[in-house]
Formats: sequence, C-alpha cells, structure tokens
Amino acid sequence: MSSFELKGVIMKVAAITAHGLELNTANAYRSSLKNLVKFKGHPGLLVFPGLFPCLLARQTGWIREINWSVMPEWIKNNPEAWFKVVENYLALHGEIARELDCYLVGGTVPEIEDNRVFLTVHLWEPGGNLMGRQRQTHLHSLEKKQGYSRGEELPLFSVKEHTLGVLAGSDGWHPEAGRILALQGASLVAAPAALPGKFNCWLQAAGIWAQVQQNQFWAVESQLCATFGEKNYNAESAVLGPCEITPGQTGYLERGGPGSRAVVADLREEERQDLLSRYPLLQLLNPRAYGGCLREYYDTFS
Amino acid sequence: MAVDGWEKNLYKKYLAWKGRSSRLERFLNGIAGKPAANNFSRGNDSPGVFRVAAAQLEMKLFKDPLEYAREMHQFVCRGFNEGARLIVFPENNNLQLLGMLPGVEKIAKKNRESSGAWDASGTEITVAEVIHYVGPVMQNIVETTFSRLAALYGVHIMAGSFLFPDGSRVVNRSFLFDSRGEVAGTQDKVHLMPLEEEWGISRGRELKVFSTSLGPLAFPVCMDATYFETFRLLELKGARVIMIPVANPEAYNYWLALRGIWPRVQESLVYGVKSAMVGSLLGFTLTGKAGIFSPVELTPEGDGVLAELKSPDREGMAVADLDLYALEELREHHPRRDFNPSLYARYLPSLYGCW
Repeated sequence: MSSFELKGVIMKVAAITAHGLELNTANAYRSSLKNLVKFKGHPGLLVFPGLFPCLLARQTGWIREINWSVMPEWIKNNPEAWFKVVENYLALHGEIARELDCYLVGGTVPEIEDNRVFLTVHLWEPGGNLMGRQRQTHLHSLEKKQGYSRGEELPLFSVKEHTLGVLAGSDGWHPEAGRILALQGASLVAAPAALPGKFNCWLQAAGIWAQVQQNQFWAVESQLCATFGEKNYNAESAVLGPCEITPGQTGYLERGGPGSRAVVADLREEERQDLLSRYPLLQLLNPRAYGGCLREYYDTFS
Repeated sequence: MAVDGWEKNLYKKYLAWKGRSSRLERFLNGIAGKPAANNFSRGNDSPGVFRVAAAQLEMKLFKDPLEYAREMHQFVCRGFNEGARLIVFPENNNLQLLGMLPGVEKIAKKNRESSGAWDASGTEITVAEVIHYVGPVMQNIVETTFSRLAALYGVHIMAGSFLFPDGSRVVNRSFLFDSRGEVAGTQDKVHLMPLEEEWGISRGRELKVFSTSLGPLAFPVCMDATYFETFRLLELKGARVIMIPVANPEAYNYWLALRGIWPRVQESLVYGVKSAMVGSLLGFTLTGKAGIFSPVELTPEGDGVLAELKSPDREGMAVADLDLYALEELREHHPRRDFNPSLYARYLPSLYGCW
C-alpha cells in the first residue's frame, strides 16, 4: 500500500497529563497547551486526565478553595456557583478545540442533574461544538462515600474514521464497561483518569491495558500528574493497542511515566483491521455459556 | 495407522489392554510406595490457608501408558514433597499418549503445514477422528493415573485438560480429583481457539464451581482466561481459586503471555493458578510459564505474582501459599469493587445476543 493510501487511516492522538501546563489564568493555559500541541505535531485527538477541569478551576481562580472531599454535597448546596464554573470550562475548551482544529475529550468534572451528582466527561469536535458527554458508570469506594451517582449509558462518538467510546475514571478497571463499548463497535477508547498514591504500573496494567487486550481496540489513557485536593496523582499516561500491533508486542504504542507532559502516537487502523480478520477475539465469545447466569448474579447487586 | 474393520477393533483392544487400570494401579502402587507422612505446610490446621503447586510439563510422546504414569507421578510426588495440597497440571495432558499409535510422529511431521487434518496413506484423518478412536483408552489411562495418585498422596489434583469424545462430540475437558481419588468435577473448555474449531472440537456449554475441602474451586481451560466473563461468572458463583491449564502454540513473549489469567485475577479478585505444557511435538511449539497469581494488593512487590517459573520452555513447578481469609478481607474492602446492573441490563442482552 502506498503512503498516500495509508495516510487516510493514520490518526495522531495524545494523552495530556496536565504536568507542566501553565494554569494560573485561562489565557496562560490556552497558550501553554497550544505550544505543547504544536511541539507534539498537532494530534487530531487530545485526551485530558481525570479531575483536570477541577484542577483548572482551582488554579485559574474560577472557584475559591473548597473541600473537594465533600464536592457533591457542596454542588448540591451551590448549584449556581458550580454551573458557572462548568460553563467557563465548556466555553474555553470549545474555543480551544476550534483553535487547535482537533477533537477534545475532557477530564472528569462533577455535574449535577435532578439533585444527583455525576462525574462527567465532555467531548468537542474540531469546530468547537460539544459532541456529547459520558458519565462515569462505576464508582471508587471513595466516590461512593462522597455521594456521587453512577451514569447508565455508554454511547459511541464518530471521530474521523474511528468510533470512540469513553472509559471515565474507575470505568477503566471494570471490564463490563469496555466490553459494552467493544461489542457496540468502538475502535478507540479515551480513558481520562486520576490515580492517587504511589505509582504502580501493574495496577494500571490491570485496567486499560487489560481492557485493550481483551477487546482489541486502541486506547488513549490520560492520567493526572499533579497535586490536587491534598493528594498526589502520579500515574502513567499511554497510548495502547493490541499486543500484536505494538512495538515488542507490549500492548503500548507509547507510554510516559509520571512527569511526562503528553504522550503521542499514531494509530494505524489498517493494522488493527488486519489483526481482527486474523484473530477475531470477540467473535469467539460464547455468551450462551454465561449470559443468563451472569444476569442473575449481577442482579444481586441491584 | 489407517486401519479398518476388525483390524481397527483389534488394535483398539490391544491399546485398552496396555492401558488397563489394574496394570497402571499396580505400577503406581509400586513406585509410590508408602508416601512419607505428609509435609503439608500450613494447611492442615487452617482450611483457608494452603499451598498449591503448578506443574510445567515438557511435551513428549509415550509409547507405553506406564511411562505416562511415571511422568505424572514424578510431578505429583514433587508437589507433595513441597507441601502442596492442590497440584495443577496443564492443558492437553493426554496428547503424550498419542505415542501409543505407531507412526504418529511421522504423520505429524508430514502434515505439519496442514490445517488440523493428518494424512495417513492418502486418507485424511481429523484430530477429532483420532480422539474418537483412542479417546476411551486415553480416558481410562488418565483417570486411573490421577485417581490413584490423588489417593496415594492424599492431595487434590487438577489433572489438566484432555481431548475426549463425548457422544458424537469431542471436547477439551479438565478434571479435578479429590484427596480420596474421586472425580470432584469436570469442566469443558468454553472458548475455543480457531485451530481447535478447525480440529472439530466442540465448545463447553457452562462454567462450573466445585465445592471441595479446600474451598470452592474452578478450572476453565486456557483460552477461557482470555475473556473476563469466565472469571466474573466463576467468582460470582463463589470460586476463590481458579486454575487454568494452558498449552500455548506460540513463541513466548512476556506481554502476550500476560494477557490471560493475570488480568482476570485482577478484575475478579481471586487467586489464579496456571499450569503450562511446553516443548515441541507433533508440529507445534508450546511455550508458557507456570505461575500462581493474586490481586496486586496481596503480593509483596505489588505485581500480582506469587510465584512464576523463569523458563518458558523447560519443565518445573511453581509453588505458593494461598490465604483465602486475606482474599476475602480484600474483596470486602476493595476500593474498585463496584457493579452497575442497570447499565449491563440496558446493553448486554442485545450485545450478547442472549441474556
């Protein structure tokens, strides 16, 4: 195949970690992000880490210092104030998507509806319009304790030649979520997350890496690298693919340890399609052996 | 090997005579002698804490079932001497007995490139047909061997999986023997590799958990560990130790090998025991590393590995202690343990095509 033919099926993607970005003002942030994106070769899709909108809101002064551990309660008591913060965030990133002419997948941001607070990820298309949003569907025990609610949808979005799904925050560690996206036809998954505590590459491999291998999609995992809400976030961001089509069969196209500003890689969709024709993992599923039983057991958690 | 009519039946009777139970039992009683007082580490006084051993076998053909019994005895004896109460064997742990068929090596070599069909004297024979022919003989040999070994040493043995005829089907079936030598349960492989489908093997229809004196155990087969659904269903059914016999026909790569049992253990919060068949035989090169895995939180290095062999192509045995109390404690308080039944009910019925 000529390079011209290949051109149409290669997409450059980036995981932005927040490390090294200037966040003191909205303009400083916009400017430092633009420089970073230019330096990284203008990826067509940027994925931001979990909780990044909250970090941005605090650093830019959109919101005064609050106790983030009681965030859902605070939002319920101050819906107007928080709505304004989210509005600023959405408007700014619509402009950034348009200026950078790329798709954006934002980090998780608390969002209130019917007195329930969700952790939501927003998506923008290159024209700057909001394409949709995705609520985190599985919660960490701390998030449950804080009063967040689970989302109940896992929609897909068209991003160039890809069908994009989002695994928000803890969803990365729940294989049911990845399977639902894959069986719907996701070719690419964006995974904004924030993992506090000591860096453990194995804990991370048990999440998105495992989801990629058993579903054979691409993934852009963006992990927050910052101190926020009295916690240190130090995980690794990566662009992942099925082992067979990554260097050294590692399952990683690129990975950047704590301290990386952005992790960038080219997705060659033709290679993935070729793999799927040779080794169609999802076609070898055998739901008849477990479908009915699984439902019964899942229902016990209702 | 192409035999028909009375010759075929006569040869089958000869194989059955060679693999008769009384001959095997006499042999095993002789070489095992009277096992020393058991060396069980911590398990005897605490049912939730016990040692497990995962065997890594080098594939070789045996012309006589007694050679097979000797090999299996060697590993059981080794596991017993290490203090293991549960000893786990790999996938396809009866193919060594194809050595009883004259000329099998030559046929396999000649047909290395063919797609699952062995051409003997111009007549194509599928793997399923071969198994239908010798399966009943092999079944008696492996059942007698492992039943006797389990009873002699007083240990549980997951004997690995075997290609067996089951009516008109051929299945890849794993066996668990309890410490009295009784069959505690069997499990048919539920997810098949494309090659096995070409061979005419049939899929298993359910995933089972077996209650034993060591706790609830499950033992799906190889490719079953590629899919989270296998481990999720088994853990929700109560399994806390899930054994996986493997025989991977691919060059060893750390990351490729990591894709099976290890992530499933992390997702489902269970102990995982992997036993591997390695070596080259019948046109295939098998690789793998036997190992014992747990959630990362229960391993000193935080890597989810309790024990793992270093070599992907030599025989050996991985040994580790399992603590079901610690596991239960972790499961109860694990920060990422969460389910969303209404989400699954919304999507999975149509996506799975059955629910």
